Amino acid sequence: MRKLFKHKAAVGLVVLVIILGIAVGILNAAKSDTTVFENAVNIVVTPVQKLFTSIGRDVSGFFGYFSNVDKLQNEIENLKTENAELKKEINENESSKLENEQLRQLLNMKKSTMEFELEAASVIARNPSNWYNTFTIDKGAADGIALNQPVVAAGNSLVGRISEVGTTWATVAVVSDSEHSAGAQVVRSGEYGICEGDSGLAADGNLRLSFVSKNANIIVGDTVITSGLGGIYPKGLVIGKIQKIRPDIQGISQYAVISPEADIKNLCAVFVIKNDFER
Amino acid sequence: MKYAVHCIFLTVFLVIQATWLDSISVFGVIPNLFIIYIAIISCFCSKKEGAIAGFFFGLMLDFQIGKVLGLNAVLLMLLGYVTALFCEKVIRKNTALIVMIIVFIISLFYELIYYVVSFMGNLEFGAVFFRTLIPECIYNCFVAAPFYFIIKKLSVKLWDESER
Repeated sequence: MRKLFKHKAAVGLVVLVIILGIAVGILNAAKSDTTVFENAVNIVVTPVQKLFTSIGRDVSGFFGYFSNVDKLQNEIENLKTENAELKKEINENESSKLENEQLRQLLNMKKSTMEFELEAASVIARNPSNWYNTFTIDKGAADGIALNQPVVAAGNSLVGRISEVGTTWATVAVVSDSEHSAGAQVVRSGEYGICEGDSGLAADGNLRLSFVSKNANIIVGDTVITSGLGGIYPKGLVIGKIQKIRPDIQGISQYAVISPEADIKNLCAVFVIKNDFER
Repeated sequence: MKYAVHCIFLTVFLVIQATWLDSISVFGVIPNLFIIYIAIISCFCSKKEGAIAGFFFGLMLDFQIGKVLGLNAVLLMLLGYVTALFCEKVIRKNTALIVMIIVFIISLFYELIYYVVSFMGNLEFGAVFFRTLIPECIYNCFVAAPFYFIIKKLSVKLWDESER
């Protein structure tokens, strides 16, 4: 007992840690939304982070310009070719669209594709730890951003969903985050599955298509989109392409490794879909 | 004076940890400046200061990560205290190599406890250990070297030997 009192500072710290540990547990069990302190700190910090991010991008862009001149010229040539092909495709699509519209009118059907209400936002900070694949955007509740709204990049490619909302900022949980999952469908064969983050694949930015039966018709290169099931994402957002197909540990099903369509690591701007999909 | 220095470091870390560090990531892993700083200053300061600095740096990190509020605060407070105690009782003279080893061990403890509390059962341990945990500890260890020399220079003005 005398020895215990000799180290009373250490004993005090252990007691304090236990009390704080319990407090942390209770606080987080009750925590369903962003706390006042968290919101206040981020309201102050995010404008500074925004400034630093834009300085960082300008600096890397400046040096990148000189080192990438050849690469950029090749890219321009490729884009010119791609542009010509796309123009041709647009013309073909226009006639299909017209035909489709006429047929719909004949059948008196509602449009299957929904018009999205989009809110553009800039990426201002990444999660400071290596555990979570999340990033912060410069739009928050004041701009109509709400929890679980889908986030996409150009071309309707899925980036993730809003996981936390502050007044002037929001956090996006990326598709490859270990706490993320979405109903998915393979475009070519119509097979269903669940797209989820995987700790082993996250370092390469990839994710996993799980719950695919052993005999499912999937091949490498197949495009995977959101299935619209689950209530968060609308149908048709492009998740990515199948890179590898592997058998599951139990051997009764298989899973696929998907490389996301959106270049998540280098994203500067995203769009938040503000429509309500019966959440 | 020393609290002003802590505040300056805290502000700088809050801004660059989530912005510029991403551009120096190695295999998708970034160093954790908060752990590095707390481990290094705890080698110079008293147990009480190590614990208090750890608590506030951890709390700010919690606000930024936005998941388990208070976990980093408690963890860094504990690690700040233990490091200061270890340096006081066992290590009489700090060298860059010793501090780098301490940063490695502290990072390993921190990440292991964080994994157990936040993800136990949800994430595959093998993948996490080799793809995230060990690379981060090694990265922290190397980033600690330049930090050590900066803080060592400051330590002459900030911490009295008798304070420990």
